[in-house]
Amino acid sequence: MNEMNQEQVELLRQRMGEVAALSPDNPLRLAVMAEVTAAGAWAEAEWLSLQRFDEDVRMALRHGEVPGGLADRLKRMPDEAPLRSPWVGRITRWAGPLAAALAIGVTVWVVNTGHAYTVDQIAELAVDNHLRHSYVQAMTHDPHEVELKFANTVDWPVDVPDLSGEFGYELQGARVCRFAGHTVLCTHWMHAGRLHVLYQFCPSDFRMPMALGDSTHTVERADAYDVRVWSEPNGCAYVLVSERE
Amino acid sequence: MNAPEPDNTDTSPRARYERWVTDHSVELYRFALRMTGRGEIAEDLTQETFYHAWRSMKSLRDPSRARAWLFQILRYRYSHWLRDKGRQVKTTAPAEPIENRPGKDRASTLERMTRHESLQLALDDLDERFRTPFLMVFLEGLSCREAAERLGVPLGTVLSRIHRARQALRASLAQQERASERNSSGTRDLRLRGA
Repeated sequence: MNEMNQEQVELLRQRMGEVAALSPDNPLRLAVMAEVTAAGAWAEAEWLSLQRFDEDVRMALRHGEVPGGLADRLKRMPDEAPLRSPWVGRITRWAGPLAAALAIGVTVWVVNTGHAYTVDQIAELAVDNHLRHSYVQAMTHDPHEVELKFANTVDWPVDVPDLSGEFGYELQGARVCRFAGHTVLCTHWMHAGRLHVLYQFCPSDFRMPMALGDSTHTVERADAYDVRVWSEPNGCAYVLVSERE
Repeated sequence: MNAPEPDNTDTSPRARYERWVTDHSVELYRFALRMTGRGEIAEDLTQETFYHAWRSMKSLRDPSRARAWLFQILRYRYSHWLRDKGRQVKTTAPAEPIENRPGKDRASTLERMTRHESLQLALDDLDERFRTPFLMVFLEGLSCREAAERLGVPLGTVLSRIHRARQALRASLAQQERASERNSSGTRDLRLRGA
């Protein structure tokens, strides 16, 4: 057995703990196991104890009563929330041109009669949207994946700012939604256990100037929300809705 | 790491959904139970998971990844639940008092962990940052590298968090053990004094 000082012993213990969950053939784990063997009986005993603990925990975690009838209840769920019937698709097919014509008419009417939104109104629309909808259409941690997935869904360039690096936010997913009839891209981010929802929109859709500056707002609903609105040189603007603690 | 599942693309959506329930509902429920420490919440989360899976079935492009996809939905529903609860996640008292434990051999340690739910109490005390990667590896069956990729953190961070989770669990279990022994010896002393 090699003589080790207390610091070396603690370091080896830490390394054992860190590699124990790796697969048996992992080079990092094999390297630590070689150190364990060189360190002698005490280290081998601790390594064995660690392995036994992990094995026990894996078994214990899989133990536990599952509520009776859970699988049956889950299997019945589609009856309560059926998928769209094939008939809906057939009706939609011939009704499509009619709906398109109607949409064009409505768009022309909205463009002609629509008013210019203020930054405060956009902040309120964002909070209301956040309160009404909490789902995402695509779950991903990668902003680039959102850009690829929704590139053809909106008629402006999707540009999701990466809040993960400097700011430490974690992307959860994205969806498209509508503010006053205009398409907006919504991304969900988690930070410090709180949800932050970022909306990207085109200011011209709302008859707003291209440069909105950078402003913060408080929107009061049942709870208060911090809202930041700003624009970027890419021609798009953003609204970040943050829940307060 | 889990082997890819059989491709069920040629079955109806309903049949595919029912196959997911049969194959994965128990492990999803157990994962939710270990994350929340509460059976009724775990059941709700499992139902929400399958509801969303059913409604967004078309978004699963590769059916062989159904299990990973379902776990991803569950973790997302769990993060919503955590948010709504304001992170005040604590379990109630254990179902049975932790006392009169059997001997200290390995089989009885495992038995205590499972029967008395002392492991769940220890898990409930874990910080969320440590509990999630620990359960992803030890219960969901992901490799450490897969867990790191899904959490968007470096592998070293996952290894370190699992190490810290294990240390905390061992300490908590040992503390529960000592408390139980104190209770037992206290009861014995009272009996002796009474005699």
